[in-house]
Amino acid sequence: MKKFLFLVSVLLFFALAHLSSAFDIPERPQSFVNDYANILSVGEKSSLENKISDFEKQTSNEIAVVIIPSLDGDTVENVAQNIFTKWGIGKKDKNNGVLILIAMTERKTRIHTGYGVEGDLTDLATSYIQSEILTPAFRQNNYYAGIDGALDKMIEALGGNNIAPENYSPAKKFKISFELILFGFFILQWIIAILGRSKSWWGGGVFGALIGGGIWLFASLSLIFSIFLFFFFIVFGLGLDFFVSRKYQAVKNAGGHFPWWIGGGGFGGGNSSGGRFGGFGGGFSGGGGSSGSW
Amino acid sequence: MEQNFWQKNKTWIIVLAVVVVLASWVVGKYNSFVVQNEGINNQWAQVENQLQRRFELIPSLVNTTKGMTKQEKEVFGALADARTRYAGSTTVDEKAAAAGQVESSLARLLVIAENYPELKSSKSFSELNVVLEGTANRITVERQKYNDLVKNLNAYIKVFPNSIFAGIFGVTERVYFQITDDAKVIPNTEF
Repeated sequence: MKKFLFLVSVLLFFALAHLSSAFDIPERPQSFVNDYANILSVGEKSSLENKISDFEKQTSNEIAVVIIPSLDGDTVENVAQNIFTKWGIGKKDKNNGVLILIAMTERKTRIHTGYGVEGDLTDLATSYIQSEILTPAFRQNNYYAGIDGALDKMIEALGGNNIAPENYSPAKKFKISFELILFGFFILQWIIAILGRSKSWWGGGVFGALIGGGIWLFASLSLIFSIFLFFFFIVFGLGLDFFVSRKYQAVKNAGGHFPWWIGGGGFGGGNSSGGRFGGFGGGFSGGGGSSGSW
Repeated sequence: MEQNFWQKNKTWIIVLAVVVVLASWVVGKYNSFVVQNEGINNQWAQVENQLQRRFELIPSLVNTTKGMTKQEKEVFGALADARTRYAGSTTVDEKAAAAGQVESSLARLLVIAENYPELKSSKSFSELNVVLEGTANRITVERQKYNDLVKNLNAYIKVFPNSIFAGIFGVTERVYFQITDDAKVIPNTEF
């Protein structure tokens, strides 16, 4: 009874919140299985979650299961496409995501495929999974069994050919950018060392203007933000040069040790590795897949 | 010494700085026009890919249905006409019109097929139908993406001061891919 009341209140909430007939896409979640209609039990949810998570670790393919109370007057194709686009299911460079969308009120399902999996999981295959596995199970209110069976079939279809390269590792990208930051840091230290040794401080302004202009030219940000950054870097450069020049002089006059930023010292870098799933990878879909109903 | 350098060349440094700022600003504008236009071209190619994919299904649809619906010659003729028109069209508007014609002929064919229970229940026809629905949705999605990009560019080049640079660089508004009204009729092909 309590569960039923909760379901009714959830449905009411959705109905009242979206009187305008367009489905409101939830924010990008941190899990593969998202049951907004509270159909699955906690155990069932985590069992499905583990299955998808293991598959993602092996092949990098991302499968999202989304159960919504209602489509709010929109078509199932539209809602699937919008969820896919907003969440970015699949890895960004592979577009290897799949979305299973289940709308309770309309009794409609859709398996929506990303660009990268269209070849392995064809429209016909998705149609087969829905008519042979999802629909019969759902007709008997056996939602978990239906979704679980559909996942098995999808994993079978996707796992055959679409195995990620051996050197695939989710932490790799981070490492590259970390080295880049390290490199940038050494450059910055080198420039500070030069700026500090010169007594004047206008050189820092020129350096800041160069950085600002470079960002402006190549980073295609908005105009106002670019101008803001440009002047920010000039002021920042001037201030930095002023500060380091004065500090350098002071230390030199006092005859003490130069601080670390003048040059000399080094430091070791750490590395961290990702563990749990931290959100979808940013894949795109061209609207592949098929719809079904029960 | 540096103070002297600054004092001597004050005007020139300021002029140089202003010129650099203005030049980089204009170059940035030009680049963003180019990037947006290329994005639209690329997306249009995606739309055409999906249209092509859809048209390649037509012969097999015709083959599957023709045997049982021999008397419906008219719709097959219209379908063939529309395909020829699409092949001969060059502009976005022409292609959109021809694609719309193909869509409406296809829709009619599928409605006709409803009257033939034997055809409706055949496996090859229902499979073909799944594939057809798939291509239709892909076209919708790619068309939507294309129109969104066009909308962005068209709005971007109309705002001041972009409008001035757009005029100088000869950047013009792009055309939307509009569906004709008769193509909007969605056939009811549920089994």
